[in-house]
Amino acid sequence: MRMKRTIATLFSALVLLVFLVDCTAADKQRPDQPPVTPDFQTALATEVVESEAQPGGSLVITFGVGEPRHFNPALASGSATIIPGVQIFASPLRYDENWNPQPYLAKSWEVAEDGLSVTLHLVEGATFHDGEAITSEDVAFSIQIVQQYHPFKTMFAPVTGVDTPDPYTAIVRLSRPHPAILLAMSPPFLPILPKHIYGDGQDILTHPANLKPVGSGPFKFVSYEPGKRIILERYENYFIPGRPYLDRLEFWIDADPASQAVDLRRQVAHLAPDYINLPGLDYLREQDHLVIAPRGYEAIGPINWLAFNLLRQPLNDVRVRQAIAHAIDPDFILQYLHEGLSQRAPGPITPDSPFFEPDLPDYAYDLQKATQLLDEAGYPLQEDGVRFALTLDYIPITPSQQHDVATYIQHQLKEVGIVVQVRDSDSFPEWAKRIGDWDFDMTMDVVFNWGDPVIGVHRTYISDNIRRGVVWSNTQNYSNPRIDEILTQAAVELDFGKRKALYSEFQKIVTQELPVLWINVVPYRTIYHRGLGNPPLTIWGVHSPLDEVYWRQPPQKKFITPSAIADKTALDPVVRTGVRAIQLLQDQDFYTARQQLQDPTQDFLELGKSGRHVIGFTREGRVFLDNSGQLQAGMNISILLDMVGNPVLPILIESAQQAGTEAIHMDRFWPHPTTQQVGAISIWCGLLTREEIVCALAWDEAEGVGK
Amino acid sequence: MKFLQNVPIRVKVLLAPILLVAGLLILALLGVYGLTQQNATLESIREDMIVRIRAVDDFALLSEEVQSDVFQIAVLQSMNLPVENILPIQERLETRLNKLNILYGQMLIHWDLDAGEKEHLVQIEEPLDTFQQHAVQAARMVLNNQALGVQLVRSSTISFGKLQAALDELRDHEETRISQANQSARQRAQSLTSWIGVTIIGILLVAGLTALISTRLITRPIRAMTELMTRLAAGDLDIEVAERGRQDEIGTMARAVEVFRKNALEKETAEMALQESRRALETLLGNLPGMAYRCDNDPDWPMRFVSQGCLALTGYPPADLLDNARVAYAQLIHPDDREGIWENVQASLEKNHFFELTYRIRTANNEEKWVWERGEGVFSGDGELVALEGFIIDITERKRAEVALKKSEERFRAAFRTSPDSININRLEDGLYVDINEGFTAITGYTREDTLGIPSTDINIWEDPEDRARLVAELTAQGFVNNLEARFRMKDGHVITGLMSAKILMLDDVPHVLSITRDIEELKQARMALQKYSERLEEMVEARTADLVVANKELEAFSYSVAHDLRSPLRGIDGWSHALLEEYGDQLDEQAHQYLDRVRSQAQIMGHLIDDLLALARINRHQMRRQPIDLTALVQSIAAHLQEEQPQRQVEFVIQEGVTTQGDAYLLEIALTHLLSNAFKFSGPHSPARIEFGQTSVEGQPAYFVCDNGVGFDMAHVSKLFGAFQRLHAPTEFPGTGIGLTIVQRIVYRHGGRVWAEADPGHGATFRFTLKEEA
Repeated sequence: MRMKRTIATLFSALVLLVFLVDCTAADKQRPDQPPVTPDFQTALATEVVESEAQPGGSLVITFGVGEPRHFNPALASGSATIIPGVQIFASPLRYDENWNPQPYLAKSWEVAEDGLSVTLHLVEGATFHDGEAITSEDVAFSIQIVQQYHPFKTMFAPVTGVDTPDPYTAIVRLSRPHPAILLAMSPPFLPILPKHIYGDGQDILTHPANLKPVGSGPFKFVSYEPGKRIILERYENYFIPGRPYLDRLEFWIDADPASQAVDLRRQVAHLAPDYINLPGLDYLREQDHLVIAPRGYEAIGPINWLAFNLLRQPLNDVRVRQAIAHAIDPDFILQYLHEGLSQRAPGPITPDSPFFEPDLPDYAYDLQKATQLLDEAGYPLQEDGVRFALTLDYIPITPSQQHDVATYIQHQLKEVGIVVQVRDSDSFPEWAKRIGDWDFDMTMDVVFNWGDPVIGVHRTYISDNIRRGVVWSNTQNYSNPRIDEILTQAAVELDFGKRKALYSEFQKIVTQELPVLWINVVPYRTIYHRGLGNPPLTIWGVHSPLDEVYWRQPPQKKFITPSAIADKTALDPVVRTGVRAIQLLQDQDFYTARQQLQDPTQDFLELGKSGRHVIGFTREGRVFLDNSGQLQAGMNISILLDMVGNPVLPILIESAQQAGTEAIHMDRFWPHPTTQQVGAISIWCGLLTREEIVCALAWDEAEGVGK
Repeated sequence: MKFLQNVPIRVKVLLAPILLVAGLLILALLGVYGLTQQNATLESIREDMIVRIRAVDDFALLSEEVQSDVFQIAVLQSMNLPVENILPIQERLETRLNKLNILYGQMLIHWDLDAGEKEHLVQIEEPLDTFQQHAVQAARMVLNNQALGVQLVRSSTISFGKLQAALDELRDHEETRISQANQSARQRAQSLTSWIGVTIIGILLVAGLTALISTRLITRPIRAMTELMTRLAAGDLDIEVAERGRQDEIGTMARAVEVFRKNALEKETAEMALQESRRALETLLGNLPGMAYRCDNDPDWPMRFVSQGCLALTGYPPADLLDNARVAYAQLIHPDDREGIWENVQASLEKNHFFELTYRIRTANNEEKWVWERGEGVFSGDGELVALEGFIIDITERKRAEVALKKSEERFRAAFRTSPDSININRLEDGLYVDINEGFTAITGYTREDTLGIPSTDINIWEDPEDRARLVAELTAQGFVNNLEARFRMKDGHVITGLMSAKILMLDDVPHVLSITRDIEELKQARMALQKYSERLEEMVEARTADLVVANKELEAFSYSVAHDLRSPLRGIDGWSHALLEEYGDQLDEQAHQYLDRVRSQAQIMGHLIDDLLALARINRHQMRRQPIDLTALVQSIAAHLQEEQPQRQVEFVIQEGVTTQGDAYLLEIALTHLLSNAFKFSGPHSPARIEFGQTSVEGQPAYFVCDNGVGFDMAHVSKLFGAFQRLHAPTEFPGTGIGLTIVQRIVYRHGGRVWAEADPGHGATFRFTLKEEA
């Protein structure tokens, strides 16, 4: 970590000596490190030391993980809440890229020898964004809230209380040793909430401050436009002096991957966390100013898998599950469907975890073996070439991980006589309800490790978590007394070596019994601008405060000044609109300019007769603007032909390069944005930058359709 | 050869047959083994090829289904069906695209590829990617924006064509490989057979030679011995050789004769071994998937040889077909196909070329199968046609897939068929009906028999043939027509109004019109009824208005006469009370003076009111004459007049130059006088007062304004402003009757304009009005 190490850290390091030594050692020796891809190397190359850090600037984060319901990570684990939430709220600890806990709001901490208490020493003088001091009372309050409301019950389950002997000391009391207690104090899990606000007696789940938070972290909340953006500003009295470096964070929310890509390419957005649209990566890889990093998800440990319902025949027979494993070629999924970007996850613990056991059974792709196992299990081929039929559900998001793999599994199992019906769900809640209610044969699923197995792994294998109605519990109905015993022991074992041994046995048993067929680590990517210093690449990645991030080299857009013809007073409204639009896009930031262009009172848009509107696209045809809403951002118009059959893009580009004083006239080239009729239109195009083109279009009424 | 002398003759005699039998046995074994090996290898290659061709076919079929989905979405969308009907198709489309991807990946990763295949597969990748992208984007865009969507559908059609072309190449490649495998199988089988033949002859020669040598070794001593031996040697072998029990040379000879007899028997065994090897060859042919045959060139196709595949293919065992034993092959062929096959084969034979045929046969269990045949003529050395040889395989599955594709098209057509709107496809050029749906029949009464193959002009469905000409012109110009309203004559002669949308559709490169027509006759009728009703309503309104005008006129006349008639008694009241004051003033006390003053002032007020009423009536009765008016000059003169009347007032007039309009000079002067004197009056308390006149534009029309910086009024009372005798200020504050603005409003209304005011208490008021330039 680039922070100065305090004595406290050393002290904590002593306490956690075994954990740390073992952990880092294991880290280095792990044979199956993720393959070092070129983008990974560049990610390393762009890391710089703190001394260069310079304050100022704003960062736009484009956000494809959905609409946040609120900004309080104490109540929910979704990325949409966590990513802005951890900027607003500080936590006692944070983690570096090697799984080492680091001081944050706690400048130091001690774990008692018996493992039954953790003492946190808070930074003195830290304040909430309303100026009130952050005290141990707030820590106690926050732990109590998370314990009561957060979905991950195991995080603070053993906590019996928090003592607050003085405003800067909080002693967390535990009923039994709890190896995950420090990790549970990470930013995504334990936001320090102001007790004087959230403790005012209102229901915390619907508390107004969840949407207008008063935080303790590096950035304070400014505004939130649902479906559009969240704005945070630097908190000037942040308890780490000089930080954060950035003045402002903007989150553009609910963006689809194609529009995210075009925003990143145009440098109007600078960071995309949790990017998972694999087909879109090729395009981003072509952009020299972007870095595509596979890191920042180690603690999350997202595993993509096929789960079996063990209550149902014939899936209750382990030979059938093994046969299915042999019939599926993980290489095909990893290399072909995931274009070589996914890492294999052969078992329940992510290969990025220090507890990962590499020596696990390998179910080689072997259709004959699968056939043989199915015969042995007593499911011979019937006359119609079928052994039995199963249904397969999938989560209706991230198709490359879920739907596409489901179709592949359907295709493969047919080869061995299993007919699979892939069941669609219209929404995530519909899928979650089916799975929670055990109404499934097999389902694709993505489940996160969440750093420590106690938090994210136990829940889907331990038999006392077979809870109907709860998704991501043990919905497989897997029950093995030995597994229960191992997991119960591992949950209280503080010695890293012993714990690792327990988890090794656990991994070996479940991979034999296959309640789940694990496939791959979800290939999340963090995409960021090369000009950023200290990009977020710790084990928590963007799910951790961005107070160290700074602009080493802020993005620069080289605008092309509209030449002499660029006269706003031009008579032709099309030319005038085009020139004005280019000037607006050069004078204002993109978000504001786009708002104005879409505002019908600003004279850029006339949806009546003339249908006059403005479109913008990159040289390769990616649309970034269409104020009539006809084209969606990110769409590729290079494949568009006009009604005569000519490609449209080259004509527009050529016209932009000439950027004459007059509009060009085209027939049957472009539909009217509201009537959608195709007639004669006028177009004027100009260059915004060398790579970006803006065109104004309008329908020529006189030469319209009525021939 | 000396050592042979010591060998007993019986051994020498045995030597040749033993060698012969051993050689033949080894050969037979070798032959059978080799053929089995060969068979297995070839079979696996063939199976592989067939699997691959099938996969490529599946792939092509799937991509066709995807493209058909794209079209389906476009058509359903153009029929304006609700989106719930279209979304499932879109989902299916995306699943199918995904399957395409998986099939492609399987070929790429799980197939053992040769260089040619690899090259072809790589060539598919790009068109496949493009096609997938286009299909997805087209399907999505169609839902969002139909016009751009249709453009993308066109892009997807182009990329689909490219993908199909690439696939065809791959399929050709695989098919070439399969026919190569077939050919090499046959060649190898032939060469193996001839090799066996040659080897057998060789062995026979060697054996014969050996026998000859052995015989010589035996005959020399025999000749030297006895005549009997010669007799015996020349005698019938069947005879019982009685002397063979003897131990001398004759006994040996007798036994030798016996050995020769056995030798003949052994020869028979050898022949059987040869037959066995032939049978192995047949097994090879029999195991091929399909039937190999040899037949005569005769319309009955009498079979001289058929392989075991005959049973699987035709349902008849080979014996039934051989030499037309039970059934002639020609009888199996579908009657419709027989003649074509004969002609095709004869033509190929003439060209000395192989023939390939696809036709239907009916099997023993009365099942119809599609078969593919490839064969050629076998000619003797002097060019005489000896027989036909070839191979027939079952391609029913493939045909079925083609039928399945047709069915999916059928399903697509079902949407067409069952739409309640009238849909038809006709030739652009002459309106010749190619297809109509049930909606068409339901609406027009014309059945399919009435219409298909008949031009629309022949059944006179267009009431006005010009409408069709208009449709064709628009379609030719832009490819589609939306919401064309036209009149159509139904079969029973009645005429309806239809709303037609149409698109150009290419069928076999001939432009056709796909048109969807909705019967809007009822709508039209309802609209007309509404129109009639509203016309009646208008008439009623006009009648009522006329009544009102008369009533108004009467009222005006009445108010004029009332005002006029009231004036003289009023003047009397004023005059007489004035006289009373003048002449008897000194006799009246203070109180009486006050009363009289009040009488006078009330009479004067009443006089003003009557004047105003008269003015108002006059305005209503005034005959309008529009003429150009210089408003600036008019306002200037009114302002000068006001100034003159009250020279003590400090009022600044700001009058815009050059304001002109069209209107009635008399009325406008009255209106402006009222507005300006109002402004003059209400700006009293302000010094310096400022009054502005000018012209602006409101909603694109010229508007005129008079604006002052006087007391203004509360906008809450703006509604009262223009009412007759309504006052916002007490008469003590500002004199007046409250009729002025009513008059202004009347005048403006009579000019077809409107007047309105804005004000702010203490900060003045602005009155604006417009005048309609030309009534």
